[in-house]
Amino acid sequence: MKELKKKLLELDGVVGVGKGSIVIYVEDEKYVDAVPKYINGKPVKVMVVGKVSFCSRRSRVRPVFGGISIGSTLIDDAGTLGVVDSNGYIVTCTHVVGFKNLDGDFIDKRVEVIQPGRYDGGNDNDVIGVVTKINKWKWNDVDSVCYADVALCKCEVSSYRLKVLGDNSLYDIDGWCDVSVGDVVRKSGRTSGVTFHRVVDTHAMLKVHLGNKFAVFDDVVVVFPPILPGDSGSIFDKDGKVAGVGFAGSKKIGAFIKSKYAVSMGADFGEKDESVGGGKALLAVGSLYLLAGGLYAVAQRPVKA
Amino acid sequence: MDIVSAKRILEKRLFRVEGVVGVGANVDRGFIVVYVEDLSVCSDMPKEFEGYEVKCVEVGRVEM
Repeated sequence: MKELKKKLLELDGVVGVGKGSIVIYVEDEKYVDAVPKYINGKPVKVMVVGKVSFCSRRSRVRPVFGGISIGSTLIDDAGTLGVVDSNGYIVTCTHVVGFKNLDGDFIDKRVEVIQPGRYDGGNDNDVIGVVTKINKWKWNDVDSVCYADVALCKCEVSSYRLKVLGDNSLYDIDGWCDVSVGDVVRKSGRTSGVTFHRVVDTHAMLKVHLGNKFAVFDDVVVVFPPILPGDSGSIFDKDGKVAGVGFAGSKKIGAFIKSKYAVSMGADFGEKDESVGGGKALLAVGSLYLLAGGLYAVAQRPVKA
Repeated sequence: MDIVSAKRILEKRLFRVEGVVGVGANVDRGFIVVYVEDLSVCSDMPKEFEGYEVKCVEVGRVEM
């Protein structure tokens, strides 16, 4: 498939190649006829998505993909568009798009999402979709436990499904998995970009604050080093399999919601990978990033939540 | 008692303690972790629970 992708990307106007059924993304209608109709006997789907260029994670990006700024039209904030799943739904956090104010009151009507978020300069002209599902929790009640901070939003603009912004290119998400203590996972966030983290706990219950309020989340995964404000919603993956959705952090740790809770809400990342054990290549690269990442996190924790 | 069950009992007791921000468990290595905002809280934490070592770790305030 890699060789095939390379060959296809060499074609004039081809800007991307998808996985699963073969999908080829082209810049303009005029390039559609140049794309083969069948490859190895399989039908080819062609999508016109325009020219792709790399820019800041906090600027306006079309088509949209994972790892960039997102927010709702209602509040002056920004988080991370985790990924557009295989059904065209944006996966991010409830607390990024599901509040109607900065006090954490949940939305109770149709709300549009914008890219970038208002905090990054987005406005009502930057609508990319609508919130379709959020999970809610009770504030300030230690006896009320929640397992997810996940939102799904129907994406209504062109997008790259199951693709996330890396350092210089998009990388693929293909399936989901559980993680174990010691695993190295990768995330791509609006604030800190691509970073690698080590899993230090897979069964944590955490008291997570928003201003003077708190909510209790159980069965979350704790990682080191931390994620930063604005990274909420980012997809953590292990070898390209979604491990979870980043949603909280402190000066010393980060935390993500397990992917099974996002899947149970309807997120479609592909098949679950039941195999156990971290990838050695990712582990080696990740070890270098862990050191740099820890130093970066300590030095650059911004004030804005 | 398995470690996850032990952790569930302990977290019910500890979550009302000021400064405790989380309780976790390292299933592979067999210890329970209490996450606290500040190390001063650790002196009030048990060292062992239901036969499992309890480690106290300062992580600060956890925020969305």
